[in-house]
Amino acid sequence: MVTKREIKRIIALLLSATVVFSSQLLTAHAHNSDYFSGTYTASQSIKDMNFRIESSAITSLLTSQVYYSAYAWDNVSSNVGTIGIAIAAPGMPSSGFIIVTGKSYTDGTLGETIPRKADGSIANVDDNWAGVSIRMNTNSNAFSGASNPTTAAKKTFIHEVGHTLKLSHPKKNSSLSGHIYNGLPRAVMNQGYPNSQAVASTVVTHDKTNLRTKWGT
Amino acid sequence: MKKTLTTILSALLLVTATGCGDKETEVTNNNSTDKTSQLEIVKVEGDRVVYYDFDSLDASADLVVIGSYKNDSTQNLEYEYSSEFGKDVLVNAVSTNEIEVSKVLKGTTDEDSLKISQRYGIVDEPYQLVTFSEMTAMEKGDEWIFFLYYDDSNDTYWCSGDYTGRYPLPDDSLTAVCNEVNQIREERENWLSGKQTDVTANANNDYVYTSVDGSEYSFTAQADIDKVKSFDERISSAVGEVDASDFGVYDKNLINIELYCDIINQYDCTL
Repeated sequence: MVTKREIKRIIALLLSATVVFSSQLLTAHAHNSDYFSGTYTASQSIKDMNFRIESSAITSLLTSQVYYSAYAWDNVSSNVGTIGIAIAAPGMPSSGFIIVTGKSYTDGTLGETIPRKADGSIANVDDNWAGVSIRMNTNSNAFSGASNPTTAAKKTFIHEVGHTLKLSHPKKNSSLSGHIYNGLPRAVMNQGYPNSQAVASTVVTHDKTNLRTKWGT
Repeated sequence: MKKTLTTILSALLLVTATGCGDKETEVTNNNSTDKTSQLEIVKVEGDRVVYYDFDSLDASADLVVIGSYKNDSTQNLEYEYSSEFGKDVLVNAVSTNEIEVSKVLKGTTDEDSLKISQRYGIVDEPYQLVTFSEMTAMEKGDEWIFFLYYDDSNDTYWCSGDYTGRYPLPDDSLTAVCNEVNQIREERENWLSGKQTDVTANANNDYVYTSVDGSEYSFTAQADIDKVKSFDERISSAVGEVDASDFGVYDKNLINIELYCDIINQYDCTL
């Protein structure tokens, strides 16, 4: 039989646990709202994030392993569908997929995400999107300046998929806490080659927090 | 949509149908009455090589010059067929602008003018400026400090890191901002000199600051975090009224004032 003394002890333990839990919440990392407004309309849905990698996007560097790196976005938000990556093959339908193509850029572009309205014109990032596509830079010099070109290529594709999930480039905010580099939160959504500072090579806390804030936990 | 701007006064419209469903349109614009800032602007997001510090930016540039836009631009719009939309859709736009060189700060050139390309273009349907660049489109009379690298495959220059490769000339206002920023930075370096470097990052409440010499400081004590943040806040405050358009970017968040101050400290940008 539980005594009154034991009940008081249990209550005290529960209360102290609540205080510790609350204090952890209060000191949890604060994050900017680094995501775009709007959602998907028409046939594209945030629950159907299936990417079809066209042959133009495949190079000796941009291999299927680079594209499979986008699975890093899985299991972050239950409202975002599991990332699907399909390497285009003859006979495979193109409908129902977000198309990923390759192009040789010489201006320093590593990759880009092009959202579109229902009429096919390019949409603004904060609009509702009827569709979206990704273009990866297939130029042999694009990633050669990185300390690890393969890691950099993976990072870029993860970054572009992040844009298709309506995530934006992080903003500086000196009031932020946790994994901050000179006011900029460490994130895969920062531009540039991955480094030990602000540019993460894969999905990290800041990215996950914003994905959940945008679409739900 | 009625065109309210007389964009194309002496336009030469050349439509070339290429194979595989691609279509290229090359338009020569006379921009004497064109104000690209008056057009609806659609910006495409992406990932690109950028530079966060002076040394890497400077190393990336073949040429650093001060130049002004000569008002002679060509654009190339690229379309591809989309089965999703059942028609050709815009996938790329590149404008090539000619600038008159006023001063060479790094490198050599025998040319009085240079071609600089930037990924943006003016589209007819719908009538808007579509940009794949973080930089604003150049307009007549613009004068900038350019960090440029040469693209021999296209015989043109590009700004290094796109928006990290173009900066305003330092006027009295910007010079005053940098004087204040540099003072704050000196205070910060003096404070950091007493701190331990290369501290293993803690999982919670880290604030990591990387010094100009590459030293990394990781703070867990709240007093230290508050102190180092205060330097960032003061620097942000010093930037104050500087507008995104002053730096030729669409997003003020892209202004790296410390990098800019290093540029005008390293190079004599007076004409």
